[in-house]
Amino acid sequence: MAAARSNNDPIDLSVLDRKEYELLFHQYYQWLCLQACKITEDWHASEDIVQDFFIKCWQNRASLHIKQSFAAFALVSVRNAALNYLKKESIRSKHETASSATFPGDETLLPVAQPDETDQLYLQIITAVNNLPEQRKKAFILSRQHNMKYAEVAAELGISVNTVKMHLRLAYQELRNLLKLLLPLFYFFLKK
Amino acid sequence: MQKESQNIDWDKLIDLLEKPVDEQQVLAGALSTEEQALFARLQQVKNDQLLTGALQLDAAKAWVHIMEKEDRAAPVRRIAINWKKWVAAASLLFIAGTAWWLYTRFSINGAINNLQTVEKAMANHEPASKVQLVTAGGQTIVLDTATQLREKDGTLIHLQQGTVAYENSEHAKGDASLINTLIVPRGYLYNLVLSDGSKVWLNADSKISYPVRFDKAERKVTIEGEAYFEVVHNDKWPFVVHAGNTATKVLGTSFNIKTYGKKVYTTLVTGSVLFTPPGNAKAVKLTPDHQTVFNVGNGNTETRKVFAGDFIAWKDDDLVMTKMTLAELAEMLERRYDVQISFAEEKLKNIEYNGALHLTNSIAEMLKNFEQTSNIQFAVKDKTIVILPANGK
Repeated sequence: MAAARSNNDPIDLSVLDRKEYELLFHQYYQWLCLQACKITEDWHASEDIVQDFFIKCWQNRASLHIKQSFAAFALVSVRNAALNYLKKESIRSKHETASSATFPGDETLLPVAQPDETDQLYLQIITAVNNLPEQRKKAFILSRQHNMKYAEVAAELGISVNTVKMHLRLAYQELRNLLKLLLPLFYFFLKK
Repeated sequence: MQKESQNIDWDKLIDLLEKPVDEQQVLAGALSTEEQALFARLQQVKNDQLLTGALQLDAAKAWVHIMEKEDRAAPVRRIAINWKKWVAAASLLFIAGTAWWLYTRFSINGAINNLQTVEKAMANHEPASKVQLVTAGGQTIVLDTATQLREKDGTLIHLQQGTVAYENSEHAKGDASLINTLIVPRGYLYNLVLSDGSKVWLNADSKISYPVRFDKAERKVTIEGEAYFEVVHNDKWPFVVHAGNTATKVLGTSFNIKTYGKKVYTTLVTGSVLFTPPGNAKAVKLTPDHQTVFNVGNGNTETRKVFAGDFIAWKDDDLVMTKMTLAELAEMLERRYDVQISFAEEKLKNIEYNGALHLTNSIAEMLKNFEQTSNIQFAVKDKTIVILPANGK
């Protein structure tokens, strides 16, 4: 699977050209936003955080010495940035107890760690979905968005409902092996 | 993989996935166990809000967005590139400058390999000359052994370690025709006890001339260099110190007179003195902790308030530095230890020092102290101490 390609190898950003960096960006952007959103619960803020991270990485690529995989490095950086964002937000709106409840105090710097199984699964699913043929990917994403009916997805994409169903079946079949891994992790969540 | 798909009605699962969640729960009961397990996973992926949210993000658009941000930051990048050039240019300048500095530094005093460490070169450093006493008869006596001698008029002179003392003759005032001169060269401090009991501390590179017995009318001495006086009080017997055409008249007091260079500094510690510049200039009456500075060049006299103690610390071999420049310090050390000091760079002369320290007899030790507490270092070239900027500071 494409996602597994360089997950655990240390990366030297200074040798990448812009095109290669773009590939790296596409590979990790959504996943890192997801990680940030876990903390910030705000997609816009999460996108800003991740974009900033990629800009800074690019600007400082010559001096960055990343000893772990890019995924691990990026995950820690983005999480820390997200926590800092929360810190600023909680200062900005002191009334919001919800965000300060998730706020882990002043010690916002998380230790460097490899992404855990759940993080890795998310990355693999995102990568798998992005590797789907364009129409199939669109059908898959639209069907999830706002719980759109298949007829609505079909109208949106200008294809028949049966074609939408076919795309979804093939998409889920593609993810099947990943989904098997998902089950033990989310089983409790499903039972309730 | 194939085995599983054969037993699974995917179309049914996809249809079911479209239904509202509560309906799914009911209808899922009709599925096989295998189908139920798979459906649970599909449901879960579909209902994972984080995953749904993430998949909706437009990475391509985001990439364009950050490239725009990057371009807006482009001037910074251009500066960054220029910065590298500047570093390279600066490095070259630095190397050239260092080369030039090394060249000038060592061409001042000769070849580089003639530099010695202060510890080695100054370990057994001795002043070149010894303290001398010139008697009334013109005889020069080197004061290196404790002994005693008699002047023509029978006055006993005790020559001790570091002190010349005249037999107390306060009540036996005689004629002041017999003049003795004590010459204290660079590298020594010396004490003198005059025949009236007054004490004089003589700094290095100083000279004092005085009568073996003072005149009835006044006690008159002449000094060059620097001396601190503790004069025995006598209202009717003024004590007058002549220094570089100036006269300081005292009755009984302690004060310091410094005449190195082109200025005469008279500093009063206790009592009172009348400082009289040459010519028709007005005399200045000093009170304690005040100082007159007479400019030999233009004949002007300034009076200022000082901490008198700072100006007499030298007599105890203490050094008090108040905004003392390295040039002044070097001049003082030259006198105190009879050494030659030169500067590798002119700008080093302006380094200022504040603080106090005790001067020991070892110049090497003193210089080591200064090296440790400032950005300078010392080396010795042809018996001259050279002050250099410290390495890597």
